[in-house]
Amino acid sequence: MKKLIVVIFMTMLLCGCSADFNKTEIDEIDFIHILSIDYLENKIVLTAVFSESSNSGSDEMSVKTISGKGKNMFEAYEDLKKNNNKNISIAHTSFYLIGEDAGKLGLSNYIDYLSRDETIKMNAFVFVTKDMDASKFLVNTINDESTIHKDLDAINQKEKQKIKRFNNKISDLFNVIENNKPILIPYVIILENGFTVEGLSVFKDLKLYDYLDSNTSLGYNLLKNNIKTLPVYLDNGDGLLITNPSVKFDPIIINNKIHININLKLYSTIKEIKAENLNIMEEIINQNNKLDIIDSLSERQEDYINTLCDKAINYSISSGIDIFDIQGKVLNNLDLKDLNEEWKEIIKNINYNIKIKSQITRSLLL
Amino acid sequence: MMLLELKIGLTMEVNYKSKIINSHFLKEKFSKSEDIQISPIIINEQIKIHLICVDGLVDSTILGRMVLNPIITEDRFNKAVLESEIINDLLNGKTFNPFVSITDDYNDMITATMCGMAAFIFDKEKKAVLFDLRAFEKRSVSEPQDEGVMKGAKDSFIEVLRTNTALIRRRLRTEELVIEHFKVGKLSKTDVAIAYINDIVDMNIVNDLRKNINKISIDNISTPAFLEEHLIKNKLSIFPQLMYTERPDRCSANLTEGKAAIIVDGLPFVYLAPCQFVMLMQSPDDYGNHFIIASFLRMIRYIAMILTLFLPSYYIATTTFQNQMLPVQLALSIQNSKVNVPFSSGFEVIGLLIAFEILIEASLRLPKTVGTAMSILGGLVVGQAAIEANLLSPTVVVIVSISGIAGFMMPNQDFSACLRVLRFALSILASIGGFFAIGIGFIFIITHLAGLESYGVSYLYPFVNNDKRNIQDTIFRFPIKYLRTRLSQGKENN
Repeated sequence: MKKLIVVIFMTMLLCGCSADFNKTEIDEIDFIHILSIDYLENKIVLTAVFSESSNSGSDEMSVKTISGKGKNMFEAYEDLKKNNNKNISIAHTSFYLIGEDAGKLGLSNYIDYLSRDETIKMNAFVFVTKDMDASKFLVNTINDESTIHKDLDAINQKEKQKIKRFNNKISDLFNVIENNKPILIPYVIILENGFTVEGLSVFKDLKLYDYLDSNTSLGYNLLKNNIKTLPVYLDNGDGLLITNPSVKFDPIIINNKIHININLKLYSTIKEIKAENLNIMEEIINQNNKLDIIDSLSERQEDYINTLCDKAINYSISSGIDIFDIQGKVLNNLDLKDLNEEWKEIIKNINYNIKIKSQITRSLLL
Repeated sequence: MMLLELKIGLTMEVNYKSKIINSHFLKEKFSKSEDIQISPIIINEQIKIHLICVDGLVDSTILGRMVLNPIITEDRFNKAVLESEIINDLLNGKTFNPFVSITDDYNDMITATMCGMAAFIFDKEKKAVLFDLRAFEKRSVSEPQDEGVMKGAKDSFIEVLRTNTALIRRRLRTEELVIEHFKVGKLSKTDVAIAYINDIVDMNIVNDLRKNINKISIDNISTPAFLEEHLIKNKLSIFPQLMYTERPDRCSANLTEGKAAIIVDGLPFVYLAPCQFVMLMQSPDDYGNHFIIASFLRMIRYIAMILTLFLPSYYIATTTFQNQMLPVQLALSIQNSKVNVPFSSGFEVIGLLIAFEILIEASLRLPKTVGTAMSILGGLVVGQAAIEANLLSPTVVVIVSISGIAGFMMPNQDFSACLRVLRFALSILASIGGFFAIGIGFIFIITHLAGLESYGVSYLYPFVNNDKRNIQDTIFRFPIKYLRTRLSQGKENN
């Protein structure tokens, strides 16, 4: 009997508390798919992209955008809520777009609010809109009821085939705030027929600092071991596909100066060799010549990769931004008592030595 | 008090309260019951005895050929001058039926007769000699209805206790198999037996069973619940505390594991005690298949249990409170399917669960041919119409169907019914407080199960035991060579 009373009491208590559990039916909520963050006229402007279900219950969905602004994220979000006729939820927001001005203002202005929302999707992606406000980007890309979130998703899926890890998830941003390291977030640009991810934007002290071009971004990703597959188009028209390259940073201190030996192992498959570069019949007969061609391909591939890596390294040296987290690697491996300089100066004087080892897999005749 | 004049010339007082064995009294008593036959037999032209039996319960051919024929034709009986001589001859095997006993207790005689024995009444001696000639109509041993297997024995228990004990003995040909008999029910006098293997079972279990059976004080055991509720400790718990099986091979396997079986005359299955949660998830097929296949199927069964219990409540909680728990595309799909439905998710799910139960109950009551048609009409036609009329969202139909079908994967129907009830409770809780309330419900269930015992053995055994050897036959079924230790908290010497 006691148990029964406890059960009845607990049920009644739950019923009493029910109103405080934020009970809202799923069809009474508008889910934000993309949230763009801008800084316009000294105010934070949030623009949300929703998809609206048709009342007929069919699968067709249309897209609508609503904006809200305020002195801070909280006020802007509340304004956004006010401007929409239904309840809104950030729980299913898969993409956050940060406008250029908003990026320059600093991520700390937005991350704090987002990190306090327990419903937020931690694996949502963040992109920067290069040279424009994010809301403008949305307006320009949502044409003819285009489903921009699906396009972003498709681009993301495509990038996933090339890059192991982009480091542009909301959770990555939260981590950056904790350890105050530079972060590189992919930026999107508008093309004639849509938009694409071109390269990486660099955030220094949580503020947008610079944009890396596509080759420098590739070099960065290669050295950060983020590359899954990388197509190599050689000058003479030959093509190779690098798969899962591996990188090892080996820091040493010589004469009070940090030297970083970078060992890069490339595993490639030959995708195409121009007919003029390969006399097929000759290769079948002459085994030695076959080896010569592989050596030649390796050499040219290494040159190409070296150029990419140099670009990324040179950027790190010239800007003084530790994009490779050298500080962490050095601290793990070396005793820094011998180094008296500030880290910002040290990073500019690091000596990099890249060793590339190629392993090209033969295919078909070669 | 009344006086009866006996044909043998004696006048004696028959005390109705003391109820002595007397043919005149019996004739008077059963004068309105035509199925009870009381026939006089005259031996040596001077001794008159009476035969009493229930028509239909006694094999009349054997009675005539093996018992009556020697009594009437043999010289030994025809020379007898005293009833005691005839009694001695009957008891000393002078007939062709060895199942013979004697009683001077009226109640014993009546009970035996009602059970299908033939009684010879000796008025002067006030005794009855009983012959076991039971041969009533019974169902033949057939395939099990609820526990069918692809690979394995196809026989099942029937409603006759003696046949059931024989089916067990056929599989356990050991002298250590003990089958103790009891009579339960003031009016029904139902035969109940406890079977166990003497040197394996924990005798505390048997003693508890004996005590519980002897304590039963009801008129009639007409349904299983009449007995079950007297044999379990926690009567408020909806979890089955006695496992039932209709398979003799499963019963004998459990006896070998140290369990005790309760066999009831009139029930086509056997109860097994103690009962643990893992037993309810084991299927007879598990031991007919390769251990990897058996383990895979058992794992699927555990997943099905989780699905049937939590899927409806999970749906309610996610669509009403914590929609962030759903993947984006699924959330959008559910949102789109629900947009024109006027009811809340909780109402939809609970309503459909009730409709599902109604369908099950209705199809049980109807004849098989009509039942199939009704299932199609109810499940497909009405379901489809309800979706098209925007009374239900298709997602809810899928959720409740998956949950319902997963529930039918449970090998034990008692456990399946228990999950169905809990599914309702959790769905109601989810409608009130989302995952928080489901969490409370889950904690309540786990706490309840942790405290539940069946004949001294924890219900969650062996999950609550440190002895890792005992996990050999739980979520996975290990190869037979590892199944050496008995899954019981009882005796440790096996």
